[in-house]
Amino acid sequence: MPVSPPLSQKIGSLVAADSSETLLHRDADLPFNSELKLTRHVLADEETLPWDSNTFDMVLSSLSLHWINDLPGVLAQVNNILKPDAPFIGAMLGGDTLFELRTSLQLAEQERRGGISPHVSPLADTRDVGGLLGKAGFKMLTVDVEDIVVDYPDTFALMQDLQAMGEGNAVLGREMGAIGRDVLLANEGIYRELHGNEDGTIPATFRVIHMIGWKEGGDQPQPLKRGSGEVNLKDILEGQ
Amino acid sequence: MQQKTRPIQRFAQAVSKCTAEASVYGKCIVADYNSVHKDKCVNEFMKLKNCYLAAAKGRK
Repeated sequence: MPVSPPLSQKIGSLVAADSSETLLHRDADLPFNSELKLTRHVLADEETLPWDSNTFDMVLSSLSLHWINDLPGVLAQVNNILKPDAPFIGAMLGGDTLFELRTSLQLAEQERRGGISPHVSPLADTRDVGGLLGKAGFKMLTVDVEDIVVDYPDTFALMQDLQAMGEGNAVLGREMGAIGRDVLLANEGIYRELHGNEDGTIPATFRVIHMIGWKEGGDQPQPLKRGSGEVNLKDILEGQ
Repeated sequence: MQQKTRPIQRFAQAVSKCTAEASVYGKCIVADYNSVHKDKCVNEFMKLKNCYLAAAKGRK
């Protein structure tokens, strides 16, 4: 087995940014902190990236973009702070994430309260993401989708998990008053009936949209013109 | 990790005693979920709620 040095040795400088100071410093005591040049930056406003143009060799975003209201604006800023021909790699929750919870909560509210109000933030659709990246100036786009289905013992365990992920405000931020409790009680029965697994657990779907986009630059490879291919892919794939 | 049981955990524990009632209520809703209106399954819900209240009381 070839031995390669830890990835941290290949990173000159890493800037970590989040609007939550607590989250940003959660792992500040772990050993890796001394092994790479890491700067933490608390964002005063998660929709404003306070860096100069052409600053970074790469920008990563892991499961936080779904909190952004102005996604096109933030993506354009990400494009701006990247150096030419540098990539943005991101993963965000989107599309049908938590569709089970949305549907059953809607039914529960409709039946208990006679109306519905949104409890799960609207999320970007998979097919929107390519367009958004393109509009923000990114080239050579890759967008892929992964559904992660997690089974929970009951809806309360799911909601506690969402809260622990920092994703719970919309659902649990409200007072657990008499009405809230009725809806949660109704929701437990409906969720199980509508989506429940045979073994008594309930599934929750997290749809992760993975994306890669490159800032335009230099002698970056360009996609070939449509119809300009000369080799049939089928010959290559079935050739050997 | 948590010193005391959170309200939602006590809630969940009590509800877990009422799976039969929850299932009846769920079936009532899902039977025709395109025309759910207020109190469509109020009888089934009250049975579920009474069960929950009894279970929540019984734990103390």
